[in-house]
Amino acid sequence: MANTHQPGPRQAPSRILARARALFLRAPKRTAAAAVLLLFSCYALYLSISVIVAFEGRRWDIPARVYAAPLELYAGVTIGPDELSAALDRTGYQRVDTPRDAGQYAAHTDRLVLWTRAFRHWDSEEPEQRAVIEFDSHGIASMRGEWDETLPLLRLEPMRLGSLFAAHHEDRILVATDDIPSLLIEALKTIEDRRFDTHVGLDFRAIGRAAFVNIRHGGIRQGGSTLTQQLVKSYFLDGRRTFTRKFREAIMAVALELRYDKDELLQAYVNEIYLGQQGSRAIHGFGLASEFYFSKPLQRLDLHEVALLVAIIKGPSYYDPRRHAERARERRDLVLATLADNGVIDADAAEAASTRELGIGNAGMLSRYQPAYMDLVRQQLAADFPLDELATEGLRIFTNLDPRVQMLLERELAAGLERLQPAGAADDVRLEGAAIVTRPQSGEVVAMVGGRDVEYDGFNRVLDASRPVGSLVKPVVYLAAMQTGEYTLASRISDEPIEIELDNGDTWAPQNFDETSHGDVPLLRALADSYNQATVRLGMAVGVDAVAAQLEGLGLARRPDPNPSLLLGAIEMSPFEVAQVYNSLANGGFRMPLRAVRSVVDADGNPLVRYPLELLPAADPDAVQQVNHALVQVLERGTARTAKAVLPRDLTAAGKTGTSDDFRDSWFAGFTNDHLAVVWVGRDDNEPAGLTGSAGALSIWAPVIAGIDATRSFEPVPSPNLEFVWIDYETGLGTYEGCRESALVPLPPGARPPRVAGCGLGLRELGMRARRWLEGGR
Amino acid sequence: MIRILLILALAAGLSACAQLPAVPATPESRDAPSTPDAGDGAAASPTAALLEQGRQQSAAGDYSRAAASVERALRIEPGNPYLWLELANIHRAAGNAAQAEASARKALSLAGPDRAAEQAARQFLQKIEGQ
Repeated sequence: MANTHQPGPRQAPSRILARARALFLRAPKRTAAAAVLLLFSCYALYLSISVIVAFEGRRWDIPARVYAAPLELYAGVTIGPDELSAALDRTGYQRVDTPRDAGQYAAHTDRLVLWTRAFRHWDSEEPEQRAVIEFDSHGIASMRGEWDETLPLLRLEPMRLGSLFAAHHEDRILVATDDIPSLLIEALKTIEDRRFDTHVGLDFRAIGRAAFVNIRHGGIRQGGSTLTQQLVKSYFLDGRRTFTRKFREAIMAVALELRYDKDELLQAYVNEIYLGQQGSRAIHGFGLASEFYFSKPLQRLDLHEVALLVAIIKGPSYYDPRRHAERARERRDLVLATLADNGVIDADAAEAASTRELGIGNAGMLSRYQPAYMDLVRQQLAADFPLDELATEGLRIFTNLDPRVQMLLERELAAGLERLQPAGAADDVRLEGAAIVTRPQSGEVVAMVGGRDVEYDGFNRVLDASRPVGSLVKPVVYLAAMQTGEYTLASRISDEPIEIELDNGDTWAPQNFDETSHGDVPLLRALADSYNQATVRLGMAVGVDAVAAQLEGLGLARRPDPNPSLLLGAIEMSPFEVAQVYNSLANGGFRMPLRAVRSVVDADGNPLVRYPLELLPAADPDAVQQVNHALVQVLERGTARTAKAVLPRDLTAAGKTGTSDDFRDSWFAGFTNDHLAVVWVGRDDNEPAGLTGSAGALSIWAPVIAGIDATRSFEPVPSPNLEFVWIDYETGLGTYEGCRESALVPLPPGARPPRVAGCGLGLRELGMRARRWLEGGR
Repeated sequence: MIRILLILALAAGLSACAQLPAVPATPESRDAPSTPDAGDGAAASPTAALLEQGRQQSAAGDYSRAAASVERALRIEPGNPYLWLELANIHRAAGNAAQAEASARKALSLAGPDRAAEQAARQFLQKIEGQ
């Protein structure tokens, strides 16, 4: 707000001088002097008001703090001791030999002793809890409390993610005066402003010293700025070192000193000062800097860590401990030595701290900002909270983000794109990608990555990149067919070439991917092997309108135009929209709005809004069960069978490949019982990426799903209205268990195809020979 | 009468789900002193504990928290029809007929060969249709 006044003071001095000169020439000296004084007073008053407005405005500007989903621990949950330790570290727990206080844990081979911190969740406060957790090869085997009682469930404190900040991109974690470590206060005064307690905003001795140095070297080299002056400087974001600015700054500093007491100024400083940068996100204040650099709260920093933070104030970019470790370390040690010289710490402590590593966390998630996920959080909250409120009111937002899956997704997408990038390709033909993971049974979005550069806060491909989905649309065609009751997985449909007269008079003659017709095929195979000709025939028989309506019913927020080309996926959807549609399939025909946010509480923890699980019957569950069964076959023996090598052997999954015209877009959407992932790979300039869905997106999807330990097989409860029947995958005729190409499929009663003898091999042989003969072979 | 049947069905379902955890139960949890039963405050099964918590919240008229508790249980056992039925009950008590019906339909679709669950879901649907 105060920034908008900035041009004013910058131009003002010259104007004032001109006016003063004019007065001086015309009037007696005394009048001129009075006028100059008056003008100066007005200017000083104006500056004072500006800085106080800035101070007040910034004082309570607390961006909404966003939390990941809390980890729920119970006997039977799939999480190992190492993973749990990592999760505790991310939440700022301290690893010790014997926990003696809340927020500590001790990890042993198959056992973890934990003393949780109390945390106020949306619905209630979880008290401190001491627990002994035993592990076996599956995960947690048992949990016992302080009195050896069995603990059924332990909800941990959720990990803090970044904040939702306003357009100025300043992020901070507000630290209350009482929570500022006294060591930090002493160190700040010693290093930055020795006479802070007594000066009036300006330290004339320091200025004198600085002036001496500056005069000797010409120009401005040494600051001599008090903490108050630095605070002013931070409010007005003006990096230039000019005398005019210094002059302005001095007046403003004095104004602040007159208006506020030292404690208030110190608290403002600790929360305001700029301490680092991450992409477009500016790290302000020691609270956030502590999380950003060390992944732990300010109160828990050790001496060498406090010293490092104080060291980088002078130049967060120049002394960036991640990029210039050596420089940062030198200055940290200088800070330690200075503190010892001034009696703030004793020499031994300084010596010991100097031997410590910088201790910079590997950014980790705690300090990281998830721009893609935050976009969805903002989008979901937009209806209920003005942006302004999110940026300033200190709200707390509880989300569904699963840190483990988010990290996995980031890693696998980056690695996959690296792998798929053609060797020696120029930078501007870079492959891009986007991915989203949901929990299909609840519609919770657990992870999102908007592009190759995870931290890039701009174009979010998950939400904003709409691309033709190709064959991803096919399950919807088959679902529309099953819903009529006239088709089953065993129904046979012709895969012969088809020509369709379009409204504009053109003729559309879609072809199969392998440019071969496969004769009469069961729907099971037509979908699993993604035959275009059979699908178009089926879609035309059912009606493109019905398919368009089905797509909308499954959760696409618009009714697509019922052009025949829709049947092969000539419709642009974002990965998020695809996830919404597939979520309804994975959920057995129930549509659930995909949600990032669970609940929002105000700064005092009072619940404001909860976003409950909502569902809407979107399709006949029996029809969905049949379609899903074909989607399992996609991974068993269809277009995505290569994923079997990557997925755990006993994990059943379902999914579908998608490839758009000229290999511009490579898609895979697939799910297990607990997780659904949609991956898109392509190029931003929409040029061909040269990848099919299985060569591209599937090669990223598979390791993502394989990497989620806790995911369980997709094995829907068999509907009592369907019976499981063995059919031949190629012909759809009834066969027997044990026949090489037979598949067990759910069919409505009465749809059982006639059985053929001897696995129907003779029949298939015959069929193949006939086809070869027809195709002019031998 | 229907209510009693429902409660019985729910209790039966709960013990069933406690016997069929998603991950094989470990010796420790099987030997646990407290039985995984809906009525037991110190229930060893996490879903039973949450369900009990949800019932108490629902009885106190705090439907929002009650639904949240059942949602937590559903994150652990999304395929358990009895949890969906409990959610349907809460929605009905809260006056949200559409969500009550959808939740019961979801329960029905998950009942599979579990006749008790199927019956409970069908009865619930009949009852709300009659209203």
